[in-house]
Amino acid sequence: MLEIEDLVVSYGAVEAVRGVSLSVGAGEVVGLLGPNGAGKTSTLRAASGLVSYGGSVRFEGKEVSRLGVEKAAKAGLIHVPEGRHIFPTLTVHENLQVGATARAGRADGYSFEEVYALFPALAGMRDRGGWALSGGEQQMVAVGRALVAAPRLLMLDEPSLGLAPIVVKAVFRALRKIAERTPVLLVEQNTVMALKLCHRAAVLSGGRVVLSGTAAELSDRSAILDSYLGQERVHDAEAEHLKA
Amino acid sequence: MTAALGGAVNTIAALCEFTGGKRTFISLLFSGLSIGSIAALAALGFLLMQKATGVISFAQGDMITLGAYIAIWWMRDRDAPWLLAYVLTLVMMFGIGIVLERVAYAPLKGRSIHVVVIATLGAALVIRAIIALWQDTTPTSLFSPLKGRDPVKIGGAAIPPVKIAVFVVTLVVVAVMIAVFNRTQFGRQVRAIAADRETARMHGVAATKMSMIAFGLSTALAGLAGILIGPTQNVDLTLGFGAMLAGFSAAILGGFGSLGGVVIGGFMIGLSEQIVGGYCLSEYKSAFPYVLMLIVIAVRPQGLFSRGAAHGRL
Amino acid sequence: MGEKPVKLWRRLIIPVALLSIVAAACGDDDDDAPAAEGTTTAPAADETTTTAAAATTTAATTAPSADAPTTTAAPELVLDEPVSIIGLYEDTGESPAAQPYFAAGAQMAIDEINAAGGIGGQEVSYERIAAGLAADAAVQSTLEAIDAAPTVIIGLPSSGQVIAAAPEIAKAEIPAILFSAAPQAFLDYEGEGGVGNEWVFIYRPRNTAIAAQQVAFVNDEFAPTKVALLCVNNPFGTASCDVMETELEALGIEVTTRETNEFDATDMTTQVLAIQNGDPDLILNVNFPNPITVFANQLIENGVTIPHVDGASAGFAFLAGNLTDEARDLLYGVEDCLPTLQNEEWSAKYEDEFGGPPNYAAAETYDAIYIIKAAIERAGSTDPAAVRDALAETSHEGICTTYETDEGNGLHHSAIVVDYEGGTINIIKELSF
Ligand SMILES: Nc1ncnc2c1ncn2[C@@H]1O[C@H](COP(=O)(O)OP(=O)(O)OP(=O)(O)O)[C@@H](O)[C@H]1O
Ligand SMILES: [Mg+2]
Repeated sequence: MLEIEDLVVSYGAVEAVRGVSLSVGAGEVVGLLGPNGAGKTSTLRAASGLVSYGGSVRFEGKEVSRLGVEKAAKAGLIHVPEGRHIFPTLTVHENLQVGATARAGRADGYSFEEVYALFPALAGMRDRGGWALSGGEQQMVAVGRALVAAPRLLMLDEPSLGLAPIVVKAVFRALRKIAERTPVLLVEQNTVMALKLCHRAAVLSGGRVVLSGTAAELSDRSAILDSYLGQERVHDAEAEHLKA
Repeated sequence: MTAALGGAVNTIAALCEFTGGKRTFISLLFSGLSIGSIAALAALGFLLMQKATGVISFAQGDMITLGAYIAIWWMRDRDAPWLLAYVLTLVMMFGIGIVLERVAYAPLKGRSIHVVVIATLGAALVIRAIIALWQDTTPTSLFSPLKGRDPVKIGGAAIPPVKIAVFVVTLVVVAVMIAVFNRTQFGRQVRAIAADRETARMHGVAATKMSMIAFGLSTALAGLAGILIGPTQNVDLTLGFGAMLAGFSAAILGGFGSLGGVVIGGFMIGLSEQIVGGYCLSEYKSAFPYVLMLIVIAVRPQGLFSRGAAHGRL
Repeated sequence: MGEKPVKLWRRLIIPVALLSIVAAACGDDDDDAPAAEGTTTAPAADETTTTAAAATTTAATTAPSADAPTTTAAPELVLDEPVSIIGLYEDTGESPAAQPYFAAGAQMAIDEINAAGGIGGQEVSYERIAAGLAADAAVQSTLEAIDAAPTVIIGLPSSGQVIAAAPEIAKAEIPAILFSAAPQAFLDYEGEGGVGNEWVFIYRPRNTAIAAQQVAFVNDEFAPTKVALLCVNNPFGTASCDVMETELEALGIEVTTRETNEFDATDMTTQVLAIQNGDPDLILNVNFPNPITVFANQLIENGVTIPHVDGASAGFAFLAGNLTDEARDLLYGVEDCLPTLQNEEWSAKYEDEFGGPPNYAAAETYDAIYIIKAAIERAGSTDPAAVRDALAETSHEGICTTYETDEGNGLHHSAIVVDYEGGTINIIKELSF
């Protein structure tokens, strides 16, 4: 599906990603973990063609930089951005309709009704403006907007960011169902939730993969994991607590 | 409070002269509506391009002029029947908009928006020079099947059919545009681009295609404005300039927000000039729309009809 | 980077195709009538523009003389210093508003004079500087001309140019014969801001004199008791309307309303209704071509069918072809000079040379060159003060009229009233003042 090799992303003098290799196969759910500033978002943005990069990113054998953002999306590489980025001036349903642009005739994706079935909370607010949604609702719309594009690979950037624990649970419940049908590359700081969902994961720090393995292996080595992530986990838990 | 109100009434009474009765009012109303219609069309052109690309193109005024000249050329020099000439003009204007996008906008993508806006000013001068060389600068006239027809009597006022046509055509165009923007996938895609260009592209919205179509459509709208105002006056190189200013003010009144907002802005421009200016301080009436615009900029910079940038619907 | 890799040709193909369509369409147009009428977009019709008479004509008065106008043949003059003239005006294409007439008229006269042996045996060297319409650009060009120390400076079509440049000319003490007839440019101007001086002569008829003549004309022709005034909202409109108002009052004619409009007005409803309410017998209009067109048509729409007399801009309004027949037949215009009607033979010669009919500016600029020639011959030298004094004694029979210097250094004292009845320009009265 997606093969990332020796990926380098730099912003001027700042090297955000320094030689990351990673792959997601058909039917796989892969996690990309790591603390703030590790380069996770940069990796995803390079993978979907939003930033220029060194090394190579191939989606179904084609180099993403050649495809360009729009073509990559139409080919089924769908990226749900960090911070949701709902279209505020469009209604919930219109957001989904725009999402369907990238479907490009693929028959196997989610219908609008399937999205509403997956997120029943959205069903009652089809005509609500994007600007009037809560964080959790926005995340549901963002995921739904990606699903109607019939993704061949879904890349999610911190879907739990800034959400109350109960909402996080609901989001992950939906993701579990989605993962049954669609390969996923999941960027998360919520390691516990992420490892429950993923088959494999890699831990990024300082722009490099510092640890990788199956979810089970990584869960077993939670001490090392914590050494990379612990600080942030505590921090996050606090933040979530405060928000809730 | 009542004293202040009384003072205001007295001031208005001193500055304004309400003469001429119903007939004058209806005449001024239709003049206002027809001027407002053109302002609204020009404003829609501004809005559409701004939404799809972020650019405010000051070539719009000269595009209005060009539209009138192309229609003249089809009819006078190519003997095309008027309806065909109108259609061909709109088609050509659409194409010219795409050319403008390719030559004046696409190469500057990623540059500061100021650079792009200046480039549109440059394009305006080039268009004007091309018209001057192609059609010469002598004032000329654009045919309309309604020109010279007997005026329609409404409440004693004589309203020329051309003015009524301008208003009706504008209403139809506005209705179609609103439907396109709110009901079609194209409309949703343009609005998505306007709201969040990068995210729209991440969902497969072809930004380049959209920007070409938006340039094409707003240029065709300018052409339509040219076809509509051409027959009401002499056509020369300055034909579109006033309409562009009025359209720009209308777009500001509407806060560059919703389609309905800028259209209402357009009619406010026309009506304030003709009705308010018709009765009060009529020597200064051409300044009224701009005074209105300045007041709006000072008091409600986000425009009269937008609930802040994030909320407006097209 | 996103979209860079998309194949370039696919993104270019549509614009290229469209461009070629457009180019093809334009290319076909070459056989079109050569720029029939030079006019400017919307510049003051009081100055740079007046109807060029390309339209078909009916009653044409025959020309006084076809060839170079004869001036009182001076005794054979032999000059030993060179004669040079600098023209301050643009030629077609140098700005959107630029017209060919000034350059063409002057060139025609210079070529004739040099072919006939020049002035005092000296070939006249003639140079043109493209003076922009803006005041500072005009001053710049004038200073450039002054640096070249010509015998005489000619040109400056717009009032803003003349008002800005006249003091420089006075300082340099070079005689100049200038085009724009702004009241301030005349030596006998009494208001504030006058720039008239003994070095500057004006070869167009005065705007204010024409305004007075218009009143006299309508009084003779229509004997109105009530007249409405419409004046474009600029110094030209205001000054001309002031004169008209005074003249009308002196004749005991009531001014029912005095309305104004902007030069670019596109809707004249307010003015039409206000004028209609006053129920006048006639309208005197001092305006620009576009408002005249809109106003004339709106008068008819509202059932106001009275004579409507404007100045030079009426011709543009007529030629633009936007007047309804009824509006056109009620319209009168006043022109300085219509060479195609007043001097057919000269006009034919001009047209042969330049491929299009002449207008007033071509005829007057042509005349001005001969006025300079006569002045140098009378002065017997190129001494600036002598040439200046000779210009002050001018009496020259030109294309449309005889030029005589008056106490304000104005040279041109005639105009013609025309109507457009039936779609042709018809001279109905010659005015002189
Ligand atoms: N546009 C940019 N310009 C300059 N530096 C950037 C830019 N975007 C990210 N960076 C820097 O690159 C590094 C990696 O950032 P990135 O957003 O990829 O990290 P992340 O792992 O997604 O972090 P987080 O968990 O906070 O989202 C950081 O040091 C960040 O400051
Ligand atoms: Mg991130």
